[in-house]
Amino acid sequence: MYEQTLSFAWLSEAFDQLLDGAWLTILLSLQAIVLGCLIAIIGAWAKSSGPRWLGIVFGVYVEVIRNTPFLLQLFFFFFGLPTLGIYLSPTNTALLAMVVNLGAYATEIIRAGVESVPHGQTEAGAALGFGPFQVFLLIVLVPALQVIYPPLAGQFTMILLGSSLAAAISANELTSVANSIASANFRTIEVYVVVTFIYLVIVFAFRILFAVCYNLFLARGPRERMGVL
Amino acid sequence: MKRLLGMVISVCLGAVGLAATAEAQDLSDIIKRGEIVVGVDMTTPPWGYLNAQQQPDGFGVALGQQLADSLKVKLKVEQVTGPTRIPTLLAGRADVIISTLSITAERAAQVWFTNPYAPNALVLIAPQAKKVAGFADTAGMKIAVPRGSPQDQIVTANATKATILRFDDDAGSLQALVTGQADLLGAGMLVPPALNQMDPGKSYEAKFTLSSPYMAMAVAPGRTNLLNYLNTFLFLQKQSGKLEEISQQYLKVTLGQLPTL
Amino acid sequence: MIHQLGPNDFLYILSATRWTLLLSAFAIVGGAIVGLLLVTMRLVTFRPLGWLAIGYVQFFQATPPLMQLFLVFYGGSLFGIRFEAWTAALIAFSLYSSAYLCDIWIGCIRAIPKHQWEGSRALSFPEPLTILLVVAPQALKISVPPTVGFLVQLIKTTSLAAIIGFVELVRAGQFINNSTLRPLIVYGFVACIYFVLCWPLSLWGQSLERKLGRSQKRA
Repeated sequence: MYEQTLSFAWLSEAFDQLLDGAWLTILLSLQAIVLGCLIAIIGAWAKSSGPRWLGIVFGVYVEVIRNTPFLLQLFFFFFGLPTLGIYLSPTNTALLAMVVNLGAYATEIIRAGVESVPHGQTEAGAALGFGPFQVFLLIVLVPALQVIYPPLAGQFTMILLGSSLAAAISANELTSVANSIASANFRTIEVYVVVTFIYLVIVFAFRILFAVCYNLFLARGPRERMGVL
Repeated sequence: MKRLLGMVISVCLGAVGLAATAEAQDLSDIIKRGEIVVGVDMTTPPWGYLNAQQQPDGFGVALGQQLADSLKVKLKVEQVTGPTRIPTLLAGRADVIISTLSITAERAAQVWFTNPYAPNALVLIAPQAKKVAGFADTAGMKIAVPRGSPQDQIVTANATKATILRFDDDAGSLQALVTGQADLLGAGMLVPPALNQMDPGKSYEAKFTLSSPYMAMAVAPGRTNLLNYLNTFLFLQKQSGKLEEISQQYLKVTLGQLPTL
Repeated sequence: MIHQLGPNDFLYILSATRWTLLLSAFAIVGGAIVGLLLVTMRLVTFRPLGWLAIGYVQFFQATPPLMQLFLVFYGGSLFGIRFEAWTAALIAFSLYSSAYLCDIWIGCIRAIPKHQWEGSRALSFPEPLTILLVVAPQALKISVPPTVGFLVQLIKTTSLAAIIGFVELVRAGQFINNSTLRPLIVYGFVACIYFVLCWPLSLWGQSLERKLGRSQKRA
């Protein structure tokens, strides 16, 4: 009979490592959010009012990404791109996979929001002499943002949580650091308890950021303020 | 928000105070059960893999079968992964692991090792065309290793100017070498011939030896009777030549004299 | 040991699909049971129960499912329980599903117009009866499309069980890949199977949503 007792004595030693990992997780997520949204805006435009062929291309992209696991997408980019002669570091591969993944989900969210904007507004925009992409950006997208912001913020959280899988392709984000620490000190449960808590803190920090952005730029009045929970 | 934070902290603190005992399962329990659970990693050919009939096979499985036969119980193979093998053992989900575990001082503080059953020289591997003679040549190169393995520790300490890519298991790091994501691979001495069979044309070879550890079975701390039995079992297998037999069959090398702990 | 990729290998991966399907099916049922419990906790007048349910949902939505899986897989030993990879995955994914399902269903209940509650109150229906006879049937109808959408998310998430060694689609792919070294073909095939499983469900969910949208516009 042997006894297993929890111990957190390793924490002070591993703290810097965990901080580095957490920072990379945050950085990857922020970059993925910005770049993913860019793809999504183009995708939403292509699917709702762009040229037909481009709409089909984005349609296939969205369906393929949304119906396959992120873990496989990571494997694909990491082991597949070299056969095309493209070599990216694990961190950049993880970022690429996150951007592509988020881009697909956000395309669908933004498209749904855009299509909820009444037709009259688009026509009014065209009458003011704006080009088609300008109409889309200024007349359609900005009003739609109010509707699509909450689901979009939810999707941002999902990609942050998804970044934990990048450990499988040796990117040194938080989960990867956790695995390394656990494989050196075998305090497996303790390490994962601490890291889960760190994720919780990061996610809530992101949610506060999202809510602040919404309340500053998008909320039309105090009754529409976005909360964190 | 405050409420939530308070709740989370209290849950965490509650967990700290917990101490629990793992189920004690020693030799008599295994015999009573009529089954021994052996942890083997199925992604480490030739030590453990699924054969063409998709059945668990390899040196580790064969040794596990000999062990079960010797105990006159049934063999149950618990499939583990590189990172889960020690936790699997500590959590009591396997009686013994035979999963390419090299004897190291760090691991000996966590699990109890038997006498070695095979040598496992660790080498740095690359295609023939790559010129690498020592750690000095690895500057600027990418070296793939399984996370937390002995080769990870050696490379991390010595190849200070290289980028080290740490994967969950042997398979991931091997894949990184083959696809060109890594320039070098830290792995066992049996890997180059296997690699040349799978990815012909590049003539993979061992560039230099990192260390020469030995692989051993491991049990959870405190399982004295089981450990004693395993060491006696290994002694008998060596004496009867049965260990050498499966080495010839799976590893295609002669084990020769093995040291004891 | 090391062999050329053959039809047997594809059959093996294909046969592992049943484990992905079984795991998803059991987890969604387990998730629905716990999820209903959570919804009930949110609806009862005794507020602390509701807060507990909110905390639970927040925890599972704000931590990576991989960590939840690790905590169940390794954490069982703290309580002297040994979990097989299958049991650990089943428990972790059931808990994970229950949080998302609770969130979806509460949203659907909230979406029922206020006057429905008020009308039923005017008939002096007791609260539980209002929920059961007036609100639940309407909420059930609008909850189907997002629940189907979540099922797709769950099927994809079960791929994480490969990381703790449970042999489902991705893990089966890893086995084959490690003795054949053809990652693009092997993982491409695995991705195709996921797509074949998930895409019809996605389409079905979307069409249900459109139908619902049309019927609501008419009303």
